[in-house]
Amino acid sequence: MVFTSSNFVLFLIAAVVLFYILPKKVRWIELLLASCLFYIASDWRALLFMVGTTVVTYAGSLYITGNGIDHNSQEKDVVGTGQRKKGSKVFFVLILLADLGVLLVTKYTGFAVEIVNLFRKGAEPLTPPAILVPLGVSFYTFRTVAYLADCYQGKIVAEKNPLKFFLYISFFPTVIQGPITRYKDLSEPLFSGKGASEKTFWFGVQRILWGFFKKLVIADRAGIAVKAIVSDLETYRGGYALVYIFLFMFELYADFSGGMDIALGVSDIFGIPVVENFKRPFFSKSASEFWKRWHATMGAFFRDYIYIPLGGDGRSAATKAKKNFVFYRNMIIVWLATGLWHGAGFNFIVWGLLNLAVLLLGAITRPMTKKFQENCGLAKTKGFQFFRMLRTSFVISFIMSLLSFSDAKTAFTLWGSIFTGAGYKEVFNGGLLELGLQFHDYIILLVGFIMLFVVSLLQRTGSVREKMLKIPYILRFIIFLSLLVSIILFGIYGIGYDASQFIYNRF
Amino acid sequence: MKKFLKYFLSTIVVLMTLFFLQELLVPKYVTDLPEGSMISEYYDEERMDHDVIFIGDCEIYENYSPITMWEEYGINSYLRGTSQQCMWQTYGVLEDTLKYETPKAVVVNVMSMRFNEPQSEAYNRMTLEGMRWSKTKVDTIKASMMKNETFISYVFPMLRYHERIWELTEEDFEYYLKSDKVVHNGYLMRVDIRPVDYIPTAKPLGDYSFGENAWLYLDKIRETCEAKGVELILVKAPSVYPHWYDEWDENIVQYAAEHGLSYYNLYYVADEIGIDYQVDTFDEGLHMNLTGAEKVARYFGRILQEEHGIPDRRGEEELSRIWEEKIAFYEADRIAKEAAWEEEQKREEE
Repeated sequence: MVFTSSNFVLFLIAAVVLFYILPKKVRWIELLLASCLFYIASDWRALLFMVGTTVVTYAGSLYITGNGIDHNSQEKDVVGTGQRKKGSKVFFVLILLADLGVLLVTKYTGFAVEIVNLFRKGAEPLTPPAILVPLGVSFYTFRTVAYLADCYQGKIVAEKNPLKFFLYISFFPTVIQGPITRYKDLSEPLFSGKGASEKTFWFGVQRILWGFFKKLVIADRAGIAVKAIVSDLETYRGGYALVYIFLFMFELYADFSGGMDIALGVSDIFGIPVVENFKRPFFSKSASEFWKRWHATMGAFFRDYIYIPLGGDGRSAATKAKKNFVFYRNMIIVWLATGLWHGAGFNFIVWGLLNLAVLLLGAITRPMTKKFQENCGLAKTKGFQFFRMLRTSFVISFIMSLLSFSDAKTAFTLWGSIFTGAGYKEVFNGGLLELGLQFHDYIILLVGFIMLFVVSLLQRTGSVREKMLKIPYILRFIIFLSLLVSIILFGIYGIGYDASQFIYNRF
Repeated sequence: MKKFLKYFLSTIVVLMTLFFLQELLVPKYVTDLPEGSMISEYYDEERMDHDVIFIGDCEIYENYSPITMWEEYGINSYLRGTSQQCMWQTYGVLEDTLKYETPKAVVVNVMSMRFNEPQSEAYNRMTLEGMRWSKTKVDTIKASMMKNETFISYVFPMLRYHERIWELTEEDFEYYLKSDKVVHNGYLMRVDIRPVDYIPTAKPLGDYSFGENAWLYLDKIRETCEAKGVELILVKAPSVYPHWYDEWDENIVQYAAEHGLSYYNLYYVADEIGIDYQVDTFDEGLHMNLTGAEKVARYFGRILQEEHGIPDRRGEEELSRIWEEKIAFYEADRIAKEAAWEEEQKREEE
């Protein structure tokens, strides 16, 4: 059940009505049932995988923390002390392997077979087995890993109620494409049912509308031209490649952040605040800042559960050489993992390594460039800061475009064509109108771009929805009615369009 | 109370905005594709006591003139045909009709027996959107939907037609929230002539049997008619194309014989009807034009009266008055269309 489908809208209305009717104490049960239904609607077999992961993690977490720890009386003693049962380390590793094993087998078997075939030149290539990839497996596996690690480290108390734990894993707004929520942030509002109010309801509705606008009006419109270019790379080269890179980045951002807006809006309706996944990424002045703002919960996961446990930037190392070794090793591990998390393929590894290269280049040259900027008096000028933002966006957009190809070679060929001078004249002599979009579509994209930019500007000084509360109701009403009408009129949906999937669902 | 009023008024404004927007976006089916308004026009009938209802695809709404049947025989009839109306839609239209009236006979065209699965979203919409909401409509939509269609887009057609915002024409504004009458008791008048120059050779088929679904709905049609005491008459219009195979015809003949139904293949008696395929068709034999439809109506009206006892109701004062108005509209339409056709011919000659 995709967020932008009519089935989801009907499902959500029913779930919300029921939620508000029910007493607060039992609302979490309704959310659990709704989450199961939502997941079963995609493929009931996938639910079995999720149940399996949940059972193993639930039992393991109780074992690790000592089954008898009382949620109320001993909580204060346990949290922060790292208290755990003797011998739990082995158990922790085993459960971790079990959880990650499901992810590895379901998502990466095909890729593993592909690699094996590379070493079997001349022999009959092996055929990868057809394995069901459970929807959102990357997201919920990370959620269980984070939970287990937090239990192991004594940061949280293991949940005793298996159904509540299952709800944390399967909470339907976040199960397909994140954010990768942490148990300590989500558990209280998720289980208490007390957070919902008139304000959270309307805030949720507003955010859902904004998400629909981003997805249906912007992302899926830009996606039409993106598909047209990628389907004929012989014709669409050079100038078209630049158009492609810009439009794909625009599509990806509107698609993923739009999906997040819907997910967070739905959670808001239930009075459950969920951590932000996008923090105005295109205002980043460096690649490292970008990755703290784009899909922030994924970055935080890799930081907290891989990078730091492995020694972080090596600052505690005895020698500079060891410090450097630890830092570079950890960066390579994290970015290989990040690449592979996005997909099972060599292009995703290349994507991770390119990000790594840009980040390392930034880290290595930072002292030099910092000194240069200070000497020239550039550091604090707005023009230079703006230049840094543009530069970062430009570089990241190039790298991100790799995600849209099945192999890195195609991306490199396309990038290379930019310097051949081909296609530039054609792009502006009607070429843009041959990509499946008409003049009015580009106007809509431009208006969408401006709207996204203005909203991002407003977000710098706090919540836009809080700000809108200060304007007269009638004006606010007109704004959101216009948004609704825009979605209906200008959204890309219905027969002839495959607007059903979000790009990040694939990851 | 103040808050309640605020939300209440806001909801009303949202609903009204969406309603007026939807009315603007949906096709008006008046000058362009009038076929789309035929189903809904039925509900505007002043009296719902027709003696004969014709149901089926385009071979119904182009090939029989109810006006001629009234003028010649006093038969009070209505055509509920739509383009490419499949058998499950014919069944739906029949069920819908029987909610409003119980005619003496229902005439069903069998050409659509060749379809066993939904065929076209566009034709689905022209048949279904005009139908009034009822369980029948819901069932018919479900039976008709193509794989890429959604039920909700029938409930809120704006979700289907939202792209028309870029294609709005004068017609959309001229007929905004209103409509003109476009058919004559379901008959869509065409006066232009495109003679039959060539009849494509029909490809032999591997299997001449009709699909299960088609039979299922023909059975349902028959059973519904039996339950309501309505005589079911099967017909095949005198169109030369798409080809109606003899083997198909034999299937229907057998079915009619098994169930004691009357079946008329008017193509086999085209000479008897007096059809001249050089002047009586507007699209090289696929459908009759006005002269052809009047000939068919004269021929078939006589059969309805003599063999099926459909009464002559010209003696009924009120009904006659209603038909007088229909005839006046028919004649006016004929004059306008003939003038337009003459103009077109002149332009072609120049």
